[in-house]
Amino acid sequence: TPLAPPTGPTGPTTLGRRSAGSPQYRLIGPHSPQAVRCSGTLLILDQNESGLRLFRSFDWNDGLFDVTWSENNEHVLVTCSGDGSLQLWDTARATGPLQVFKEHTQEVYSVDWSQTRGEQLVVSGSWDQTVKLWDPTVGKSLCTFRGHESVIYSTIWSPHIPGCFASSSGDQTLRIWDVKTTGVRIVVPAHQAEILSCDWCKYNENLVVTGAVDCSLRGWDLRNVQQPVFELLGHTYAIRRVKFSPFHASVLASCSYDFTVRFWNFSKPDPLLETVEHHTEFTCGLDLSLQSPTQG
Amino acid sequence: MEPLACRSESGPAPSPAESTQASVTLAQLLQLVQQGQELPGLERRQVAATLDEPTASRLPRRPKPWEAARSAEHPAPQFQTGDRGLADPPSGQRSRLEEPGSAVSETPGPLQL
Repeated sequence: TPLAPPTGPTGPTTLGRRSAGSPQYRLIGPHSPQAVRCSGTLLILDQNESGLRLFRSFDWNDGLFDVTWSENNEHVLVTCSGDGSLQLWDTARATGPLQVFKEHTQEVYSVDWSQTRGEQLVVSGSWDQTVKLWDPTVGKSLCTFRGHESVIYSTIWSPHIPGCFASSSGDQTLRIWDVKTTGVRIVVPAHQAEILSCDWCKYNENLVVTGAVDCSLRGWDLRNVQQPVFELLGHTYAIRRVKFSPFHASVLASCSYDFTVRFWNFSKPDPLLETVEHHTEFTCGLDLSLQSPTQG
Repeated sequence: MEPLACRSESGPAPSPAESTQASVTLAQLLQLVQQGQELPGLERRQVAATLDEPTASRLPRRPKPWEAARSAEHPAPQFQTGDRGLADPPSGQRSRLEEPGSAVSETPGPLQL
């Protein structure tokens, strides 16, 4: 059975094993959004045969909105916060953070560590409408990307194209960027609603999915963005996060403010595979285990 | 989702005589938050960077499932520049995909812009 949300990404060297057949969830801990921002906690969880245990927790001065693991060090991860800063943490140390990166002028809602070999870069997306590029060993950002006309909700590296990332925004667009230029490469008016999440297909480098407040998921072939290549309907409230499967080319998972997580295969005539209901709490985050395949 | 425009750093500091057990009504609390003022009884954390070096990594980076599938026969394509500009916004109604099964070709091709 799934754990209580919110959830976050599993590290590249996930601790422990998980029985096959069901997705793995991982808590990133409560964050305090909106009305009262007091503090946020990052929870590091360890999983073994007897269950999940709290390995360590870290406190920050403000709410934490996202977390991403390093690709070159199993101890290191980055969070982003309501106070506009990013934090670099070391799970092998009891105190922290190691570094704080403060440049954004509003909440940072998304962070992602680059997935392609040979680069160690972090991209952050903020409600200040900018995306910033960071080298975790350098104190100042490498670059600031402007263009979005509203808050940014999601910034995600391409798993295949080095230096390429996608962003989604309250301005209702999906944008594709390249670190070699500061201007946007592609603008997709993907929905007529705020787009809270996007993700790249792991087996087709041209395919990106968006999830929006209009309750729909749309797939976009970046070679031709005139219309979506698929649209998945079923959620009854805004899509909060969407993720493509690490194992299956046409499988993805979404979570929504309708208290459900849904699994889809967009290549099937009836694409909805499963609906998982949570009756008590919002499902705010989602990621898929790299250890065990999800249901096909 | 509109961000609440309050700044927790601004506003007067709580008076030293203010009890940490002070209670406020919900209306008072909302007003304090909207004005960016300090909230009575709220503990403020002062977490700061330690500037230490990260603990040395001992594990090699494991390939992702999709990297194992592609292997060395399909090296990562380079991001190609080109003359194609921004996508024109579609006019009128975007049509929904008629056949969900006919999606994108799964043969990867280089993304050209």
